[in-house]
Order: sequence, then C-alpha cells, then structure tokens
Amino acid sequence: MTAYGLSVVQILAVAVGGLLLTGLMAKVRARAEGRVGAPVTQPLREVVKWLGRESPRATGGALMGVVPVVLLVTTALAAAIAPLAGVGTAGAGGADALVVVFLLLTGSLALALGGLATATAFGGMGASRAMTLSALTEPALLVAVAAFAVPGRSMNLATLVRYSLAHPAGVASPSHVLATVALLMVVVAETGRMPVDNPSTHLELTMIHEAMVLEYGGRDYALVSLGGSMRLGLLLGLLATLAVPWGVAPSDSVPALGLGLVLLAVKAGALALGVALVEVRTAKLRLFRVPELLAAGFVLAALAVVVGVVVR
Amino acid sequence: MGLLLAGYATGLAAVAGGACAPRRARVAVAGALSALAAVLVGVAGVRVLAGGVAVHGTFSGVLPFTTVRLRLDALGASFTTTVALVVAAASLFSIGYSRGPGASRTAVALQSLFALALIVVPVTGDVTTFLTAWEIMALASLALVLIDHDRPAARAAALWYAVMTQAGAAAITLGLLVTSGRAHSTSLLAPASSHLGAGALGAVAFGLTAAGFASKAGAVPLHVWLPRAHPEAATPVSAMMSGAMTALGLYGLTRVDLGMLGGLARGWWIGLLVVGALSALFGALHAVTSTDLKRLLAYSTIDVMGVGLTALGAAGALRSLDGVAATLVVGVLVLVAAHGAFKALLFLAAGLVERASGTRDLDLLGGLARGMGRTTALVAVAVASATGVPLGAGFVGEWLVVEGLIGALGRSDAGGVVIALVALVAIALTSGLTAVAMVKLLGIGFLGRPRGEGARGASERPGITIFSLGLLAIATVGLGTVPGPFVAALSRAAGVVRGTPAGAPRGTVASVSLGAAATALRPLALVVGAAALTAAIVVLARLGSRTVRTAIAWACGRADLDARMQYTATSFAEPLQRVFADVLRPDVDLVVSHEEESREVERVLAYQSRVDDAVERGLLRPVVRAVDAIGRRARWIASGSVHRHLAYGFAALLVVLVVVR
Repeated sequence: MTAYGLSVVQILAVAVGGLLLTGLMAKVRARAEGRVGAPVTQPLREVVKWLGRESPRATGGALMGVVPVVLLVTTALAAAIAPLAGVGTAGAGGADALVVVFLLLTGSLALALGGLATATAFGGMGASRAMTLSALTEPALLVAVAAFAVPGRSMNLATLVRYSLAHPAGVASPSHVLATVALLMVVVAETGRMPVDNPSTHLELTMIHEAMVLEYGGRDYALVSLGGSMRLGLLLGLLATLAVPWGVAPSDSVPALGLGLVLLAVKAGALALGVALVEVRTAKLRLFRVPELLAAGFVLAALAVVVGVVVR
Repeated sequence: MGLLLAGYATGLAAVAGGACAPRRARVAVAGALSALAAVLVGVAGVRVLAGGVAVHGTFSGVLPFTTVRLRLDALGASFTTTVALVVAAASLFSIGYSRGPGASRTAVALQSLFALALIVVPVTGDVTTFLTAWEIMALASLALVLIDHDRPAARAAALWYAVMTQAGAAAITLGLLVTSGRAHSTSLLAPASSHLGAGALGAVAFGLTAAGFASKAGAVPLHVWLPRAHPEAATPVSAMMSGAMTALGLYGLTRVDLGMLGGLARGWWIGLLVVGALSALFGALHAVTSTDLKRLLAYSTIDVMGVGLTALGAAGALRSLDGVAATLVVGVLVLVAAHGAFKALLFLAAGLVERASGTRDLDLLGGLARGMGRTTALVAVAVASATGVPLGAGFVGEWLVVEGLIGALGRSDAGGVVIALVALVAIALTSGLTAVAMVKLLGIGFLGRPRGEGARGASERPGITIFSLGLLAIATVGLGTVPGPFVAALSRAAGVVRGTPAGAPRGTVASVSLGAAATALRPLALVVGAAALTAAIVVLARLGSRTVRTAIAWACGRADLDARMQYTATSFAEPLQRVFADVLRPDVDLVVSHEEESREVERVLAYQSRVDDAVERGLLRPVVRAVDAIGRRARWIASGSVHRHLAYGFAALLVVLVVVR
C-alpha cells in the first residue's frame, strides 16, 4: 500500500474508530450502572443523522462554520502523519511529536474562539475553562513526550516507534511506564473525560468542552462532534502506539498493515475500556482541584525523564 | 556597504525631513524616507544572509575622537533584517496614522531618529560605535515616551524608563570596557583568546553586560519600565520598541556574552536561564490577566523575550554539546524574527482599535470583527503565530528551542539534564499561558458582541495602515511556511557560539532538519495536506445539509441575551488568576450590600479585581524608597560650597592616582 493510501486509511480508522470508542465508553458506563445502554454504533448513527440537518447559526455565525473545519482538518492531518497502523505514512519524515501536539492545540484554540464568538455566557465559560486546563496540561504533555523521545533520541514519531519495535524490552522499563501513566492523565484531561470533565452532563454550569459547543446545531454540530470523537480516537491510538508499539507495521505490505490496524483497534479499545471503568468509579473533580491532578501528571513525566536518563 | 550607506543617508534625510518639512508633508516625508532607509538596510542584511560574506567599513571624522566602524555579518544581519522589517512597517503605518501630538515636529524627527538608530545598532563593528548608536536609540525612545507629557502616566513611565535604560547603558558600558580592556581590542568580533570570560573579571564583564542587555529585553526584575513605556508611546513607536528594540537586547547577549566571553563558568549561564524562565512565566501570567490591550502586548513581549533568555542561558550552559547550543541559538534568532513581525502587527492593530473605538480596555471591546474585518483577520494571523500554531512563524522558533532542549536530555551529564528539563518545563508552561492570553485578545477583543459604545461604532478604512499590517502578516506566514532558507542562513550566524556550527539545523525550501534530535519539520507538506483535507471535508459536509439558518443564540433558553452577559477579559482570566494567586497576588474586592428588610436579599454586588506588579511592589518600591532616603540623608555632602566641591575633586584625583599606580 502506498504511503498516501495508509494515511487515508488511518484518517478513516480514526474517524470511525473514534466514534465507536465514544459509543463503547458510553456502553461500558451504562452496563456498569446496570442499564442496557445505547448500541456502540449510536454516535456514528447520530453524526450521520445530524449531517443532514440544517445548521442554525447565531452571532459570529461565519466563525461557527469555520471552527468545525479547522478542528477536523488539524485532527485528520495529525492522524495522517502519525504512525498508528504503520510507520510508512505520507509525511512520516515530518511526523514530529511537537507538530502533532501543536496541531491538536490548534483545534482546541479554534473551539475556544468559537465559544467566545457566540457571545453567550456559557460559550465564554467553556472557552475560559478549556484554555485554563490546556495551559496547565502543556508542561506534563511536553515532558511526557520528551520522556518517550529520550531512549530513541528522536522526536520523530516514526523513528521512535521503529526504535521501540527494535528494542521490545524498553516497553517494560520504569521510565516508559511512568511516561505512559503521565500521558494517560494528559489524554484524560485533553479529551474531557472524568474526573476532569463529564462528557455526558446536562448541567451547563459544570461543563467545559460541551459548554463551548452548546450553540452548534445540525450539520455544524455533526462536524464538531465528529472532531471531538476523532481527537479521542487519535489520542488513545497515539498513546497505545507509544506505550505498546507491537503490531505497528514497519513495512508497507497489506497483511502487515491489516494486522496493525486490528491490533490498533484492540489496544485503543482496551485503553477506552480502562478509562471508562475508571470514569464510572470516580466523581468529577472540582475545577480548581484539576491543576493538582495535572501537576501529579507533570511530576510523573519529569520522573520518567530523570529515570530514563539515569537508567540508560 | 553602498546599500548600507545609502540606507543611513536616507535615514538622516528622514530626520531632517521630520524637522524641516512643512506641517502637511512632515509625516509623509519622514515616514516614507524612514521606511525606504529600513528597506535599503534590510536588503543589505538579506544579501549578507544569502551570501554569507560580511561587509565592513571604517569612517574617521564622523564622530569626534574616534572612528566609526560598521560591520554586517550573518549574526548582525539576522537581527538587522528583523529590525528593518519592523521599522519599515511601523514607518509606513505612521504615514496614515500619526496626528495630534504624534505628528509634531519633535515627535516626527525623533521617531525617524529612533528608527535610524535601530537599524544602526546591529551593524556596528566596535564598542564605541555600538555604544553611541545604543545610547541614541535609548534617548530617542525615552523622549518619544515623553511626547505626551501632559499625562501623569506618561511622566511616570518615562521616569522608570529613564532610570532603567540609563542604568542599563552604564552597566553595558562598564562591561564592554572590561571586555575590551582584556581583549586589547574594541572589536565586537569573537576574540582570538577563548578565555575572555574566565576568572573574576570575566564574571564581572558578564554580569554587567548581561544585566544591561537583559533589562532592555524586559527581564524580571528589571522589566517594570516595559509595560509602562510601551503602551504610553505612540503606536508606531511602541511597535518599534516592542518588536525591534527588545530584540536588540537579545542581540547584545548573543553577540557579546555568548560570542565573546568564552570560558565562563556554567553557573552564570544557569543564572541567566533562571532569570529568563522567571521572566517568561511572569510575563505570560500578567499577559493573561491584563485587560489593557497594549499592556497585554507589552507583558507578552516580556514573555517571548524571557523564552529567548532561557534558551540563550541553556545554550551557554550546554555549549559543549555539539548541535544543541547551535540549535538553541538558531531557535532564538527565528523566535526574535517571528516576534518582531507578529508583535509589531499586534501593536499597530491595537493602535487602530484604540483610534476607532476610543478605548484599549478589553472589557469594553468586542465584536470588532464586524466593523474591522481586515484588522481582525490580520490580528488572527498574528495570534496564530504567537500561540505556536504550526505554519505560524512563532512555532518554528519554539520548535527549534524545544527540540534543542530535548536533544540535550538524551546526551548530557546530570547537571545538563536538569538544566534542559527546567528550561523545557518553563517554556512549555509559558507557551500554554501565552495561548490563553492570545485567545483572550482575539476572542474577547474582536469576536462576540461589542461590550461598549466605542466598540459598537468602530470601523476601519483600507489604506496604508492596513497595508503595513498586511506586510507583517505576509512576513509571518512566509517565515512559518518556508522557514528553511532563513534557518540555513541563521545556522551560519550561530557559528558565533562556537568556532564551527557543527550540528546546526539544516534548512531547505521544504524542510528544516535537526541532527540534535534526529527529526525534521516539513511545513510545506503540512500546507499541502491541510489544503487537501480542507477540500475533502468541505465536500463531505456538502453531501449533508447545505441549509444554514440565522437564528438567535440558544444560550440555554434565554432569549433576552445582552452583551453584558458575555464573558469579559477579566472573567476569562479568572480561573488562572485563582490558580496562580500566590504569584500574582491580586487585589480582589467584593462589596455586598443588603436590603434593609432582609439580610438574605442582596442589593448591590460590586466586584473589583486588579493585579499589580508584585515585583514592583515587593522588590523595587523598597529599593526606590531606600535610595530616596539615602539621597535625603546625603544632602549635606553637596552643600553648594565651591571650596568643598574642589576638595572633593582633589580627593578623587588622589584616589585615582593611588589606585592606578
């Protein structure tokens, strides 16, 4: 398969997979609470349904059309270049970890600006909270990424994964485990899951991500919600790839890539299952307690770097 | 050399034009000539960057007692092009903008002089020429802050600025005297002896010059003048001060401290790193909480310069690692260029907003996108660059710096790991906070609905002002999408750090690649990918519904939504203000008065929050008071008696003779 083909497959996998993971997490939650819950494919069906609906736009309407596109383009671009199913993606040479991180940040900025553009109290509130958390997540995120980069001495994700595949024992090293846990905390905060944000809340005053997108409707909402799910899929997929790179195809043969895709789904599914189970058992943290959680994540990441350098 | 001299002659003509031209033509003549001068010098800089061959010239008889030495090499050229871009844009802008006190004979002539000094400083070749140009730059900008001297705020700003800039200049002068005394040469080139920084005298030279240059770059705790003076100056001047003059502080550090003082102990560089990290965080936090548009921008300048100082400190401390120091220095040079472009754009736009709406208070702005669409779009480009969105110029600089630090993590000794980690964390947190400040600037200031009368009626006219903003936006986008050639040229400039630029970043049109962290940046590929994906997503969206209906905002069911219900700049920053309350020490007043019938019913709620500069209040005010007290006590020394003063002179002469013998 060509590099471009692999990138397109990865984008589609992240888009569909993200929606299915969202559905899976809702299902796990429902089952744990003793309900039957909606089918796993529910988010997928909803997005398709909303795509056909008209979009009501309030003040700042032009921006409400642009924000979902920016969110989707940046997320898809990151999904295209990052090594998820295989390392030979289009643009793998430029698949720098920082580029991926800042592409995702660009999506967050667009969402926050969209929230402020609607000129409502809740839009501003969501934007303010989301930006606050995003600022505090950044140190933990960058240091965790640095911890992954130290053993392979490269910030290029494809090079990192290749190195990791060649040195399978590294996956169990203390530094690697610490960095994985730190990155997991970052992913929970970035995707707005419990205990940082409650994605299924109906109480506007407690919302973070949902408050920013309250004003979107119809097709616009379909795209925004697809973007949100893609972020979840991409971040879980990246975390799975960095933590346990086994199965990521080093070659461009179709069977290897197919296996890579299946294993990616399994790994991301397992992670989603874990996050959902934790979610059921924790209460949402007060907004001003979240910095403590993120600080803990940061300390773990810093430890990961130090341990990685010392043990080397 | 011919281009440079033509540029400087044009610059002098601009000063003369500002002083002599009739009132109607004054602003246009001086602005156009200053812009032309900057373009000529900028082209000379680009030619040096492209060819890599330094030009120099010596002129005697220009200044009394000394010769003027000009020298433009790759390092100087990288700053020269940045400064020239900012000066050219700001000068063009002033043609369409300056009026009132900003268009007086003094103001126009001084502004041209300031512009000229800015494009001379990075081209000077020896200590005396450098100090002369530096001092002209400082004094011209000081006088420009005082143009509007009827306002107490301007006078206070000028006083702080005068003290800081003159103390800084004195420190730089002393430091350079020590340096050139040891080197037996007044040249600013890297000296043959590589141990100029060794020993106590080396430390003294470093301390003095670093303090002086860092104060120009707004390092904490010497930053106090910056958020006062930059907003008080006229808009084109504040753009030049923020985009160009602060950058020259970093130029001095790179040229003198990194370039000349070899053999300095690592501790001094760590000191610079810590100062830089504190400045970056302090500036970013205050940018988050500021509600005055220009003050926010001034604090964000402290933040970017702080990142630059951090990276330079790390480069000095890790200079033994091949590639790391060079990557960091190139990163700083790119950051400075990016900052010059986007910060000048933002300051100029802030001036347009102030003129159009009558206020700089973000809490009274909003909804400017409707009446000032072009300005808003250009500000969005600058904001994208400032927040580190890939394809913005700021990202390239930040990428290089962070990659350099991460590259050091894997191969350094224990001390080096700690240094790189601390710098990395400070820069990461700063970049997150900067994003908050910039989203606030764009989202609260320009989007949403107008919060005040002024913002409601604001409008713009296309003209030379918007054109000059556009120039800066093009520079930002160009540097962000095709950084390779610039980076390749800067890698030669980074040779000043070590003899050879081993492991410096390599650049081609399509990519920037690093040896230090074995990775590459391919912005053009990202552009192509983003374009293809945008097309795909737009097509996908059009497969669904195409109907768009304008509706009132839902806002959870409130139909009577008004502009006062929006988040303001203050409320947007409140969560972070609370998280960092220990650092910011905000004064928050909440006054609640109750109905007389019942304590349960509130009548009036008054909330007031204000964040003062904790460093100024806690550290500098006591110093000022102490100096004041000493001054009062010491009055009897200067009694006015001629005999006594003659005796002092004689005693001083004796002391000098004893010491020198």
